[in-house]
Amino acid sequence: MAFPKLAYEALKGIVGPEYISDDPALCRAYLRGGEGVGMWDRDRVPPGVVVLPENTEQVQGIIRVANRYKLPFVPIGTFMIAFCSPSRPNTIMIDPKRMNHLEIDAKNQMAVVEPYVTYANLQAEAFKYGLYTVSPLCGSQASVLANHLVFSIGQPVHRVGYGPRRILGLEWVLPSGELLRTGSMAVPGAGAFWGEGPGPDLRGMVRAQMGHLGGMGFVTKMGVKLFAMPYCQPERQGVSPYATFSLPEDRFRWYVIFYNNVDQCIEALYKVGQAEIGLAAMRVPALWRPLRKAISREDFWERWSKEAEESKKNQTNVFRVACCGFASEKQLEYEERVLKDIAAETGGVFTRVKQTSAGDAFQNGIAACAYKATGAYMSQKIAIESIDHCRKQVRASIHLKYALQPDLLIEDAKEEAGWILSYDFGHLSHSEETTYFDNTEEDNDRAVQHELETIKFDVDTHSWTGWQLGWNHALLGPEMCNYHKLIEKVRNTFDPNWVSNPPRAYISLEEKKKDTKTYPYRPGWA
Amino acid sequence: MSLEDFRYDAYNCIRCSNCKWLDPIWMQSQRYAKICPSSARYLFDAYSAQGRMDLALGFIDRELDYTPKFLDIVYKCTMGGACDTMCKRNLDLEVWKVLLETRARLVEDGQLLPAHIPVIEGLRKEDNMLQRLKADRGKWAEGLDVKDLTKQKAEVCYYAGCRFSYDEDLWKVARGALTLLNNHGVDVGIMGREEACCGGRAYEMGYCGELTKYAEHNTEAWAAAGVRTVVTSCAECYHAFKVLYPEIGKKVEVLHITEYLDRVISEGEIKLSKKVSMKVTYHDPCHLGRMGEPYVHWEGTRGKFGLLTPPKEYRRGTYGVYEPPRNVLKSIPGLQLVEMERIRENAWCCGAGGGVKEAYPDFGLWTAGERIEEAKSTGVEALVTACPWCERNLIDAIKERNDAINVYDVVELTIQAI
Repeated sequence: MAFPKLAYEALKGIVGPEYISDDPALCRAYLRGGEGVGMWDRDRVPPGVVVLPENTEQVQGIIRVANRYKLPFVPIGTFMIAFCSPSRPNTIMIDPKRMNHLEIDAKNQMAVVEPYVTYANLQAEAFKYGLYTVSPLCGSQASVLANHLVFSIGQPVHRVGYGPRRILGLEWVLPSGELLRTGSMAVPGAGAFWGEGPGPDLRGMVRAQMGHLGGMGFVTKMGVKLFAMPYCQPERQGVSPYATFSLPEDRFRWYVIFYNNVDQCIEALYKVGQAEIGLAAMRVPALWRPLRKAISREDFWERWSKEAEESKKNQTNVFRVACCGFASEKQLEYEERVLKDIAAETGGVFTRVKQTSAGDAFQNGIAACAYKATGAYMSQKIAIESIDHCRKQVRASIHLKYALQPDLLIEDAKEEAGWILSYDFGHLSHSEETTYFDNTEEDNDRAVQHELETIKFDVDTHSWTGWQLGWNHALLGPEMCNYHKLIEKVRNTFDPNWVSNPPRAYISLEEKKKDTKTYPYRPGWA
Repeated sequence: MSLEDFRYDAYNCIRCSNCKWLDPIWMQSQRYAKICPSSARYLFDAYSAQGRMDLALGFIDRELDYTPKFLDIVYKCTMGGACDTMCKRNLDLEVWKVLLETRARLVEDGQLLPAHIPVIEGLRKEDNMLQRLKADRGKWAEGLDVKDLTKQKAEVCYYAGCRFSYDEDLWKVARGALTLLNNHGVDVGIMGREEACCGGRAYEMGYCGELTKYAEHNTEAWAAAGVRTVVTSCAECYHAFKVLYPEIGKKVEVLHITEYLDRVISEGEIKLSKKVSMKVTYHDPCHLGRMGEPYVHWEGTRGKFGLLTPPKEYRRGTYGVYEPPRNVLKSIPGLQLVEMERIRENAWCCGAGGGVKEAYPDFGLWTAGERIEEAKSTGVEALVTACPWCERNLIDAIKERNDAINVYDVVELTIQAI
């Protein structure tokens, strides 16, 4: 089905002929979102047209055209781990590469970003003022704006808190094409300094549980918080893949505390929060260490085979903590002493690790490394809740995970899957259970089935099902206070024509049952 | 190898976008954060390595056919290998090979880029990439007292390459390098008008047969002249001899002139005593830097999880020629070397590679212009490099932009210091 000519001409009039294309070769590059080929978005089709808007007005124009012609549109960020591949014919793909304006207000510790500003971009500029942002675990090549709409999770969240709460205002083109400004940005000339008002705080609406996956229009500008750090010159050394980034040890230090059971590790996580020390605090799986050190997949397996043997005998629960002397060197000395006391009280083995750990915390992110194990992985259980709850979540379905990846099972060892990070000094936590699998059709099928198994398990055991994709809401809602009906109402109100990345954000059960082409791999649910 | 042999790599691209950006470890500003000229200039994602991986996959799986835009996307790439190096920070994917094999397939299927046709015809007729007469190839060395390797034997062959042989503005570099070797007592000679192209540039345009042809010709000619080592001042030729020739079974001992100079200067055999009061920055040529690390042969099989048996030693740009040119510059009295933000494996391409200068000169000059801006931001008087293709493209861009910065080859400054 050819893209409607009139719509194409209208779009061309908005962005100009240089910034629109419907050529099949060019559109092909937008066929898949992030991650591997087969994992999530198997129902995808190439977009009908790709447009590159320059500013908010152009984005509004594009979305109005989408509504006028009832054509779906997909806003894309910077790809990785995005559910931004079209699944309906004649989709308008909105690529924001021309929208990369970045403005820092150093005095007031904030920045206003457009969608194509990456974390690495922002971090590089913020460092010049002695400020930092949270470099997310998915990698600092991710869009600051798009990632803040999900959860902007990175190591320093222990100190700086949950990502969406770091939003200080939005310029948001709704799925209808209307422009909405939130927070202090709603007041002309006020700038982005306060996320909540005036009026009701709409950040929850744009964020939902963890983002709408492009299903709620297009955010064109966002004010985000930056945070002060001791002004220092980072030390960069080496050549890829051995390049390192360090911060001075009189103000920054990294530690690992080893435990031989998870409960001790969790106790320490709580205590670090209660003592209000640390820049970052998280429990990482033992698997992570060889994963981070390996330079290739073969190297990983060699390291892991040795590590797995060791893990059967030794402490495998790794608690990583970073401390910073924000105010002074003495603050760092104090925090280190407190951390040593916590390690001793909780039965941990305290070690200080390399200063180059700063690279992962401030610059790199880590998700791309995770592909080193098997070529594909998924975080099938993502929970944002109390530390205690997150800990239960990762423990509950461990048997399901190992059913999928026996090669990474350490029998009789203390290893347990999953990350558990502290937010806000332990008031909140984020856990992810990561499952690795071979990126083949067969293993992808198994992984998707596995995801369903974990959801079923959660429903059966009355556990929270964690972060869910749009197509699961209608299935889970009846088990969980019919929350899907609220989502459906929001969707109908904001996007009456259902043009904003359908059906990623939400799909009704009725539509899902009808659409067997899109969901052939979900047997047993409808 | 064929494009299909790299389906695994195209399929397993995770679209993380790391192929477009500098290693975040080394990123120091938003202005100089990008590493892929094609993606930076043309913006649509198809013009990034991850986009081209999708195109390749679509083509392999017969879901996509050739269009003029397909060719445009494939060839608007300088083949500088930055994407490959950045990808391999995390993933074991042969990105550059996918780009190269896509071009090879286009040529194989007769889908030729019109702008490349006269270049290749010229190569086949006159053995050079500049559409010039073979008879004029040795003119650059006229008047120099040097062995003629078509008649005499020598241990070392100084290989000028197409660009130095025909670009009169740059003759001083090749002549200077040869004089340095000669004066230092090296048993060196040249092939003169009988020197033929290395074949590397044609190979990167997708004309793989030309590489085999010239590799055979050149290695035979060197063997006949008793040559044990080839020294070149061209980064592209260096890459061809160091990486591409061994890949097709032709081994050559090759040194870039900066490697040679670094060695003799550090051993005290050449004394740099004259002051060269200048503040300069160094531009790493892609083919000498991240792409200049040695070829490592691998043969094996892929199993579950994509694991390779035996393990493969990936070329990641780790062992490129980064320090020798810097060491030479640092040993010049009075010379102040200031680094740009994008250096070594993170270097921004000059814009001349991959057949871009021939087919898309505006894109080539834009890319060079970006590098000139970056050099100027360091407050230097001159940009120094170690490749004639880089030097020519940078000079052309400076002229077009009416800029004031100078461009030198490392050899020129070395000579000034002797």
